[in-house]
Amino acid sequence: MGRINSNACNFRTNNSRRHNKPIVVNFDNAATSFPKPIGVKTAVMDVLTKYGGNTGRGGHNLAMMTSTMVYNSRQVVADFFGAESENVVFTCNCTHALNLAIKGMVGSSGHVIISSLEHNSVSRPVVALSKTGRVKYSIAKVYNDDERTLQSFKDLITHETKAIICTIASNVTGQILPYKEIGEICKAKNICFIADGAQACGVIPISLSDGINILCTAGHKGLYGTTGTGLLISDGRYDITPIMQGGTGSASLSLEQPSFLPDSLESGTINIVGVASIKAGIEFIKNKTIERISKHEHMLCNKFISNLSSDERVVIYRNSNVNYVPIVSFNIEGMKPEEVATYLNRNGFCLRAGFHCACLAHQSLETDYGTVRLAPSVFNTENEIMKITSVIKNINKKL
Amino acid sequence: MSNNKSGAIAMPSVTYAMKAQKLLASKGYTCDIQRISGPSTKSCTYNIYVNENIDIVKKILSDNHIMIDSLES
Repeated sequence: MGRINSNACNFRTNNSRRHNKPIVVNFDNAATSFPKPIGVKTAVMDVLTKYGGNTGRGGHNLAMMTSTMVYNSRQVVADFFGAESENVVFTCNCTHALNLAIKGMVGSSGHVIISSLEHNSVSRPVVALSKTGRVKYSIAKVYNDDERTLQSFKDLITHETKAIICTIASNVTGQILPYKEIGEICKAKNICFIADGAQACGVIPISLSDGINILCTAGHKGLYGTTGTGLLISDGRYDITPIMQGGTGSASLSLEQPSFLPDSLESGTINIVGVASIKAGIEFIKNKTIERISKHEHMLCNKFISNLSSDERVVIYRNSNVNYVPIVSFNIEGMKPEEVATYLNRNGFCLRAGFHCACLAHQSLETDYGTVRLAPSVFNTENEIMKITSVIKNINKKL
Repeated sequence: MSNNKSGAIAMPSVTYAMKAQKLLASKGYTCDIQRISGPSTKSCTYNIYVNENIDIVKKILSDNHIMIDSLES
C-alpha cells in the first residue's frame, strides 16, 4: 500500500510545507474525505472550464455536452450500485436523500422501524413524521450478535409496517448491521428497505441486489466527491412522492411535477460540479478497488487499536464479535472527548469528537460526552497512525 | 405492421434520450438527440431521430423498459 498516496491531491506539500504551516493530517474522513483524488480535482476543473451548460435545459452545444457528462455520471453510479441510470437521483447530501426517501415513500401514515444506531438524518425525519400523528415508529436494538439484532427487527414488524430504515454501518462505532439479512426480511414481508450507506459506500461493495430498495448515500465521503453531493438510488419498486417541486427541464407545460425518475426528485439545477466529482471519485475507487481500499483502512484502524491496547486509560468502542467499517471510536478515561480532540488538533491531527449527529447511537453506547472518532481514508498512512498513537500515549504525561 | 421509414421518438427527458441512444448504439443503431418544444408534446423535451425501421427501434426500447413519450414520423 506504499504507493496508494500517489493519486491524492498533494495538499500537504502545496499548502503546508511551502508556507511553513504545520502539517495537517485528516482523520475525520467519516465527516467528509480529504484530500480528494487528483482525478476529482481534474473533473471539477473540467466542469468549470468546459461543461458550462445546464443539464436537460436546452439543445445548444454547451447544454448537450453537460447533459452527456451528467448522464455518463449517472451511468457510472448506476453500474457501481447495480441500478438503472434513470433511478439514480443526485441530491445535496445523504441527509437530503434520506429525507426524500423517508418522507416520499412513507407519506403520512403507517409504521416504520429504525435501528438504535441511527444517525439523526434517519431519526429526525422519522420523528418529524411521527409528530403528524399518523406515522408510528419503533427502534430495533442493535446487539453485538447479528441474530439478536435481526430478531429485534422481526419482533417489531406489524401489518402496518411500510419500511425498515437503517444504516448499513454506524457513523459512530463503524459497526456493520446485517443489512443483507434485513433486506431478505423486507423482501419476505413486502416491506421497503431504505438503507443509509453514508459510511459503507466505498469500503463495502454495496448493491441494490443486497435487498435494498432505496439506497441513500453521501458523495463526499467514501466516494471521494466534493461536498454538497449525495445520491438516492432506487430499484424503482416503491413510489417516492417528491417533497419539493419545480423546474426539471421536462414536461414544462404541465403544472404538475413529472412522475418519472430522476426528474420527479431533481427539481432545480443539480450540482453539476459535484456530479462530475462523484463520477471521478467512483472511477478512482474502481481503479484502486474497494477490496484494496478497505484492506488499507482496516490495517490503519487495527494498527491504531493495537498500538493503544496497552494503555489502560484508552477505551475503544469495539467488540470482537462484530464487523466494522474502518472507523474507531475511543475515549481516554479522565478526559472529555472534545479535550482529546483539541489536544490532537494542536498536534496536527483532525478528529471529530462529541456525538457525531447520532443521538440514538450515543444513547446505546451510554457515552455522556460522546467519543473521539478516528476515520482514515485511503490516503492516510501507517506512519501517520504511528505518530497519532504516540501523541495519544503522551497525552496523560503532558496533562 | 412494420414500416421502413425513419422517424423521431419523443422521450420524457434527456436522461431517457441518452439512455436510449447508448442502448441503440450498442445494438448498431445510430440516432441523434434533438431538443424540441411545443404544445403537442406538452413540454420541452428531447427527441431521438432514428434512420432505421422505427418499429424495430421502438421494440428495442420497450424490451429494455426505456420509457418513451410518443412517436413522431
